[in-house]
Amino acid sequence: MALAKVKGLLGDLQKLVGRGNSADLAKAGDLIDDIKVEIISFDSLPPLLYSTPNAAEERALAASALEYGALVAVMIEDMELFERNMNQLLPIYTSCPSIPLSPLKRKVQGLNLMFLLVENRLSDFHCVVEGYTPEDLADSQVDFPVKLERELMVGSYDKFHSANAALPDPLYEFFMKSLLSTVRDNVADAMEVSYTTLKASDAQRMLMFDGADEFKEFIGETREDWLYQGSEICFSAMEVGGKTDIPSMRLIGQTLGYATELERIV
Amino acid sequence: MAASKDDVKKADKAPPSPAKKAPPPPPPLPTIDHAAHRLASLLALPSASDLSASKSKPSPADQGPQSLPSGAGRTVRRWLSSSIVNKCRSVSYAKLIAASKRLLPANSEVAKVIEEGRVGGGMDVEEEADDLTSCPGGLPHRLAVPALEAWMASLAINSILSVDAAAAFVLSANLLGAVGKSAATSSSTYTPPALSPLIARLYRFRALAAEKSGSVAAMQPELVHALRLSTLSRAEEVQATLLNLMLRYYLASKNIDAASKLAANTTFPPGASNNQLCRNLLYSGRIGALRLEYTSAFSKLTLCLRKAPTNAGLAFRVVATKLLSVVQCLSGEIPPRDTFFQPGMTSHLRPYLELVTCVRRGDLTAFAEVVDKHRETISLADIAQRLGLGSPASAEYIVAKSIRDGVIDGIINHSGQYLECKDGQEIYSTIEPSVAFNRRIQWCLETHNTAVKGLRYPEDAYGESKKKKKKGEEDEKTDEEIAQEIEEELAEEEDEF
Repeated sequence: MALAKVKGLLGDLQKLVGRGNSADLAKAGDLIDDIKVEIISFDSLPPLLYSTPNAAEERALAASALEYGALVAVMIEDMELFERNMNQLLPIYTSCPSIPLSPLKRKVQGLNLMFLLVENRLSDFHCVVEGYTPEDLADSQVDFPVKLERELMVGSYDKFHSANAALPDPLYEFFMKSLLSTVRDNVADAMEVSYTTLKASDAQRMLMFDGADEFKEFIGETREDWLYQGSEICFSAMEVGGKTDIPSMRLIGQTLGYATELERIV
Repeated sequence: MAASKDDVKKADKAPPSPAKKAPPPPPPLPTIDHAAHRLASLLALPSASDLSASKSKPSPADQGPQSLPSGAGRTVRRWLSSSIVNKCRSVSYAKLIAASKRLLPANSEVAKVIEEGRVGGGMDVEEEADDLTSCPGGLPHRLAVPALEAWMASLAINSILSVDAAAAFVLSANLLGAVGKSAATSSSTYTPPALSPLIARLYRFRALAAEKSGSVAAMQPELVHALRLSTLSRAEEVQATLLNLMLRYYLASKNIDAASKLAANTTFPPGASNNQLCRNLLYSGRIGALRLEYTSAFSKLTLCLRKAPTNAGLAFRVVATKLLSVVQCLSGEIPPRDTFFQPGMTSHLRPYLELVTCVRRGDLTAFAEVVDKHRETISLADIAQRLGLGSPASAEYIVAKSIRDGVIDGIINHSGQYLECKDGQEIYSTIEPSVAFNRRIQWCLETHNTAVKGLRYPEDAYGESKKKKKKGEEDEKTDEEIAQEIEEELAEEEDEF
């Protein structure tokens, strides 16, 4: 029977994830695939949502397995796998609110928010947050990405550093690493337009680089147009001083549009 | 977000403006019969012309027209909003049963279900019923029967709804089934145009009953199925109603992702009634606001408020105004003060007025104004202090981001730790004015076009102009005659197309 089999597999899975070395994680990934094949036969899961006799147990088991799946995906640093697992897991949360709260739920919810933040899918981020209950939001694991997003939106990028020191769970580190490059890009964009010149050492500090080599590498890769003048970086060189051309085609299009509309009215 | 679940619920009920009146003094003809006969005459009138046509050339059927005219949906919608139909809302269930027996053919399943519904709903059987046993005006035309059935079904659900929502939910399922069967035997399409507004109404009441009895979630698959059918048969009113019901459910259950996907993957039918359109605009505005698409949310909500009826549905407008003011604040605008002092809304909108005042006083926009007014340069430490930020370093990041987002126009001097404003930058040397000008013209044109599309003429405009012509001849016309005139007018309109 599928139910008993999934239970057994889940037990093995928990052991493997608990040990957490890379060979075990690879095995855990295979186990999750097996479980996913088994839970296809559970009619109590979305979208069917039949109330079969074992519905409650099946749903809880499936949710728990997918939660582990998400965690394993983060451990082996596979974003796509993480997203796939979340896409399967979230409908269970939304359409079966009666399943008992699993210990991993908040962690997975928090990680999901971090994932959306890294992907810069802010619309989705807000939609997801809107769907959370106050109890969800009060949890430190969920609260962390919500606060982080707020600070990044306002532009307090320096808070990012302090946030890095206060991770609610070591698993968040993977996303923070990816987020760092997004943040750097944003800061660099802002620097380009806000300063005419800036000391290289200051720029390096603002971009949160520890060593000068890393910093130079970053500029070499992504910001080729920044100019070094001694110890200063000059941004103004790339500002095009001349006046922009008159966008004649666009203006013609607009004027013709007005003409047709007016003709329709008169 | 701002509008709570209850607000939306209130707002949703508001537009049809229940306005329950006290039962009217007993007229010579019961109101239901009166309304039913008007509907029958409105729907069956073209039969006169059709019959004369069938005399000249032999038609396959001699019993009048085989189908209702295509404008029937409009006619029914207009009839539904007339005062006489509104009066029927307060008719008691016992009277309704009597009327359904009188007006509907003997084999009508709907009449049977309505009668059975009485027992299920635990209604008082011994209530006074009309002492009429047969219909005083004769049985209505057979083409009008499905429409009458659907209408009486909606009356039945409506009258149970306030007493026992669960019973109303069960009854509505039976009634919808019976109405659907009856429509299927009389027509080749799933939902004939004349039935569309009536069936839409049935679904609305059913959803209301489901909400009150807590079985909304179970109803969703049914709604999806019905939406598919109504889309196939192009029953636009049903389609619009179902879409709105689903959006409403998703938003209420905070499944915003599903709501936005549904809204993005469906087209709201252009022929739907104004009330449904307003609702749809409110829902999609809310979705837009939650997805940070403030520009589209803003335009949808303004359009919604412009199109919402001004004589009814206050709660609906309050909710829309609340949402709109929040959206405006989020996109960095300050809503005009008189928004918060519209008649009847002042007390509801007070918290939002306070919110807006706070935004005005406290945030970056205000700060930018201060900078513009008073100084050419401002130190980062000052900024940090003024905005309540932790440190000048934090302020430096924030200011840099604001410059990039175009909120502040200036340059930061890092070594001197101050912000230098680029004052008096020649905005007229850029294409900015032309873009702004274009945006406004587009807005005006769009407003004009929607206004033209939304033009409505008073119901009896044609009759009155005719009256003026033959002044003094007949001062008072019977309802039937006026109805006839409306129908003629409709027929003429059709000929023009």
